[in-house]
Amino acid sequence: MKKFFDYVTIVIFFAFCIFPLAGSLFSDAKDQNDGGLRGIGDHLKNSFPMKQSWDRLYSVTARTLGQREFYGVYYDEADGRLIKLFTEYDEKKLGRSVGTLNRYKKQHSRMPVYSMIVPTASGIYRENLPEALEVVDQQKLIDDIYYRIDEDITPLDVFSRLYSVRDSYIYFRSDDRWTQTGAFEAYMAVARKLGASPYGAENYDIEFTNVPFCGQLSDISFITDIQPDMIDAYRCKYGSYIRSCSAIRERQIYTKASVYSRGALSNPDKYTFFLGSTDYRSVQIDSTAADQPSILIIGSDYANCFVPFLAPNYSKITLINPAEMGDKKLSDIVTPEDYDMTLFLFDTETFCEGFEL
Amino acid sequence: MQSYDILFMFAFLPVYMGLFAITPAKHRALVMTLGNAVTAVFCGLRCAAVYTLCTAVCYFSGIAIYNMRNNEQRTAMRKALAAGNFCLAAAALVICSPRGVDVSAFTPFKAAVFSVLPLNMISYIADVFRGDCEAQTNAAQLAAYLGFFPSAGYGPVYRYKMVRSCFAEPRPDASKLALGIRYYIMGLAAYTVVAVRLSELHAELLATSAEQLSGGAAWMGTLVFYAGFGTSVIASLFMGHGLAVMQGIRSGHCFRRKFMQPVTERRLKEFNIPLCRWLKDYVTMPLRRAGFDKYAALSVSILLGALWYGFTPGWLAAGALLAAAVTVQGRLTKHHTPAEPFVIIGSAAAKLITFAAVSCAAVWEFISGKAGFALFRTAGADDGFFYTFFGEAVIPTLIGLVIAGSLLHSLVNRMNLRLFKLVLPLAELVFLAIAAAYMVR
Repeated sequence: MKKFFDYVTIVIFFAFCIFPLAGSLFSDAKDQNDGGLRGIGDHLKNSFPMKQSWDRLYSVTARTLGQREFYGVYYDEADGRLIKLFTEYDEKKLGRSVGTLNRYKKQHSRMPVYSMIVPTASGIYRENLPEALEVVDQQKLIDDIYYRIDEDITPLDVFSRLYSVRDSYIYFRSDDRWTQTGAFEAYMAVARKLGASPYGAENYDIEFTNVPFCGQLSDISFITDIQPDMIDAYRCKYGSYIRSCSAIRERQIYTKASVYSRGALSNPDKYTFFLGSTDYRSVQIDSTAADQPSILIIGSDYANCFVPFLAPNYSKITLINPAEMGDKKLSDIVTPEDYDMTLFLFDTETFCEGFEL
Repeated sequence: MQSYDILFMFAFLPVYMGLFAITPAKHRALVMTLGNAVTAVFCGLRCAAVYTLCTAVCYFSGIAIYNMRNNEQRTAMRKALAAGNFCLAAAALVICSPRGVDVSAFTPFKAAVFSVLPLNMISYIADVFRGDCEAQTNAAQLAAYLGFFPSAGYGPVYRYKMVRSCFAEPRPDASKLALGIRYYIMGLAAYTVVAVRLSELHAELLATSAEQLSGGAAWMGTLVFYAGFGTSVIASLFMGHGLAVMQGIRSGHCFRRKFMQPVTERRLKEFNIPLCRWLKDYVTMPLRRAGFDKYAALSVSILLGALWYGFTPGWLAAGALLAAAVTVQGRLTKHHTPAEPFVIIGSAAAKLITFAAVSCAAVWEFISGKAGFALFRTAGADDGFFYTFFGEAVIPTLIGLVIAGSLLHSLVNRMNLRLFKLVLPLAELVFLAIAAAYMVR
């Protein structure tokens, strides 16, 4: 009997050891990692058979042992959401962003310039997070940013509005971005300050795309047993205001008749439903509201799901993503003087990473 | 490449054991040497160079020392050669330590590669010098012993004279192979699941600002350190011992701790038996033969052992505290047979002394880190941090204390072994699966 168990142990152990090695040899998984020991180890991990099941086993075991934070993502069990923690920022980089804003205003002193810093989920749900994590007080940070920017730049506060509706589905449960519901709430808070008449919820039909997904925070933390997220699209009841939507990425231009891209729902990153991608250099939206002003929006991908609400109020909307500008300057891409106003729309974390134009 | 790396378990080990199995027994030392060399190269060219140099120097020095044993005129040269090798061993320890010039053997939670190479060198040269065994003329067997990769972390430390015949023609059978696998799996599970998590918690605590940290959280951190350190050592010993047994290396248990062990000296010995035996053979007994008092020699050994775990003032203090406790307890109970109540009180005292000693090392980590003197703060700071930290740390710490205290070992000894044998394969599979999940993430 003892010998039998011995042979069982030997066979199971070496079969267990060999199986992943064989799997990795026949795997056609392409890794973007460089070579070397780490690259080989990463390849072995990525091509490990049934990797998702092992990841799930890891997350269940870790949570049973009391772990709640996984690589900077906190699992809020009570609310059933994953929150990307924003715990620190570089003061110099933040200063660079503030300086960029102030320089832009100096260069375009006659143009109305607005600044909208959107808190991330880590800021709105800060009370749900343990104090020990020392997450940044984003309300205080945003106030500090608004205090430091040029007084001729109009700050747009959305923190209070988002905080008041924090129990609604304003942030994805497994992604670090906001939903279009959250963007709509922000739009309602700032539309008048932008000089526009807000179109209320009664003007929109909400289309639920019925494509459940678990976002990048699930990939980072290996936690998938939370309620899946769903993209919701706000469509105006009285017809589309969009004439064309052209996204420019390097030398390629993609033109569509809608700001929503159903085909993008098959991408791993479902957020590309808005505008068709998140790595555009610029997007130009022409609306049917020909007699309305034009607006230039410079910001992070938080602007993607905010833009559709502006279509009834602006004849031309151009989005510039500073992270995708590469070596180009703003003046190489657009002429700001062609627009009636400029809006800087960033989430707190991206703003604190610093950007230049 | 450590024995808990994904590359080790799923790439190196199956290929190595396959090669080991198909090689005739008399040539297996070559395969072991190859395994050592591969491990050394993965640790860096510096380690590989040190390993090669030390093996070459030991090989020729050992033969020279052995050949000059009957020549009284060459006694001074023999001693000089031996001393030179000991110095080289010390240099190897410095060079191979992960923090380089910091001269630490290893941090509490990450075993240094080749920290056992210097000890093996000293063991071999000392045994040949004393005439306990012949010099090894087979370079492969010597190289296989010196850089024996299963011991590359915390050990087990093998004395040359006890294992030299095993390296000549290693012949593992199915029962040894299975036993080795069991040890390896248990060690791997304990390390990846418990020890690594405790080290992350400890690092998180050290990174917390001093203002945030309350005294309670800081002292909880010392408990985490104690559990993590104990689990790291025991898990590493399990893995090393398992890998050695799989290759037919015969050795005794690495730890054998009684739950009710009242004598501090024995409690220390049973924590890392191979290391304690090494220290006894090459430090304590030579000092006693040189005329040192028993407890003075023991104190030196304890100090060196503590410094081997971590070359910091904290570990020096730990060693000093343990040495003092062993000396006092030994002298007080010298002529008395411990009565029953003493066993209970003594056991509690021995545990407390061990915890206090390891806490010295933890305190040093706090004081030298950002946490400053939080340990001495009793009130004033918000305890929100403590409750959060407690929530995350309590389960792994308790498991770590069970492992470090060898409670599991004691429980197993008292269990119905027949039932345990049925459950064991299932438990192995579960541990293996969980360890794999942690390695693959």
